Amino acid sequence: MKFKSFYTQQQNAKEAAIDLHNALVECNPGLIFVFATSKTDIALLNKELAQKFEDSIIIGCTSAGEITTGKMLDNSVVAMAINKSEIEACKVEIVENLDNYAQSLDKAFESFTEYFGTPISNLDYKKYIGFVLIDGLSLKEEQLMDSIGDQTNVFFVGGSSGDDLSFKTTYVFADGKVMNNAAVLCLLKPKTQFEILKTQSFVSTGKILKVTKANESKRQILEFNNKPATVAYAELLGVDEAKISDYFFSNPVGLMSGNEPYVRSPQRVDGETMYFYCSMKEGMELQLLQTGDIVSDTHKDLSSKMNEMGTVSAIINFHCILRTLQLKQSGQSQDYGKLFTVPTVGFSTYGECYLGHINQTSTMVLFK
Amino acid sequence: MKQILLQCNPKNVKAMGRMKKLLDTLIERRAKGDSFLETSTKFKLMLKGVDPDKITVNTPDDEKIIAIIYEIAQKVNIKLD
Repeated sequence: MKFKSFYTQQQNAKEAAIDLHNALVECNPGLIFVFATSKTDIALLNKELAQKFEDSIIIGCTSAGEITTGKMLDNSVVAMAINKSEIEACKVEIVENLDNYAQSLDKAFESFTEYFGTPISNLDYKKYIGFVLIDGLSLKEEQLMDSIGDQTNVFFVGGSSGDDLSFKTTYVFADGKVMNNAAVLCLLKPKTQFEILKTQSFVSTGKILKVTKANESKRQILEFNNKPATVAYAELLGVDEAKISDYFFSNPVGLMSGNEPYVRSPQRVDGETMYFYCSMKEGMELQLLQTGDIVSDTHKDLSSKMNEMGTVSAIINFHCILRTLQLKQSGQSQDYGKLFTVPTVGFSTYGECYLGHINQTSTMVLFK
Repeated sequence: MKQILLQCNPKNVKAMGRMKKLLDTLIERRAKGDSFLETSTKFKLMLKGVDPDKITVNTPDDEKIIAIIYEIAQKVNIKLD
């Protein structure tokens, strides 16, 4: 067995660890991904798992909903084991203190260089895949992804940890250590082929919003098109300014790379300014997006990628919490879960990572 | 006449094309001919606030943007000169 996914809804962390161990041990795991509801005792879960899987690398984080093969879940612990036979090399590093992470990140990359015997800048992105799990309340995702992207052409895919929409504390973890204000980086050289899929359910309306005044570190937009942000956004939508928050799910904005939007989702209105779940720089030109159907669009993109690969043995899915909420609103959660017919693990994130920090997207890694 | 002379004065003609050349060099050296990496490098630049597709040979050079391009090149360990 190359990959095995499993979930438990056992609320007791010790019992959950026993469930996971019983289910995954037969896979002879070299690497285990664990995504857990924040309602469980995360420290205890990690302690128990580290003891039970002494020879395995374990990484994960708290979530805002979980995904396993064929299902979308809440209040669960989901996991995927990758058999040692499928891993050529794997190294995990922790970036601590995201408020001042430069030194910690340098140390992590030095460790990768030492372990893989090649500077990370020279690693072949077709042979290596990076995973990144970042504290979802840190507001540091953009900077960290930017710094990672400066150092390497290897793609780091992942998400921001959640806490079941409490927005109080989220955790990332690796090998028994549980942290916040931190990020876990995992650099994997699998023996099997892999592909990355970034999918979102939006098309551009062609309408432009240029950031003319922003408070980048707070992810706050003061002005679009030299007008107060709320005024410009409402004008482009053609709706009453007082009602714009009704359109946040269906009409986020996108930084376009060709026809591909990198979504930035509005969070809330403050006076005539708008807060987003992603920062934007002054001068950036964005396009107003229009939502489509998440289930059918994901099905289309996933099928296309799976056909291209021939066979797919496993999927890791970093799935935006806003997509989860949209699916719940439209009663499509189970239909979405059913799209994942091969061993799958994933969670509802507070933001997705692919080249940068994005929203309302699923970033997936598919293994052949 | 005065107006025409003013326009023709080399001091008043803005230089063009340097930004495009620098960006092309940066992308080429980073992506080494791999089209997938070219796209991802361009997007990384967009996230840093420089959109390579919006800068052409006819874009007047802007010292502020040139400084940003050099700063980015230094960060990604690419020599531009």
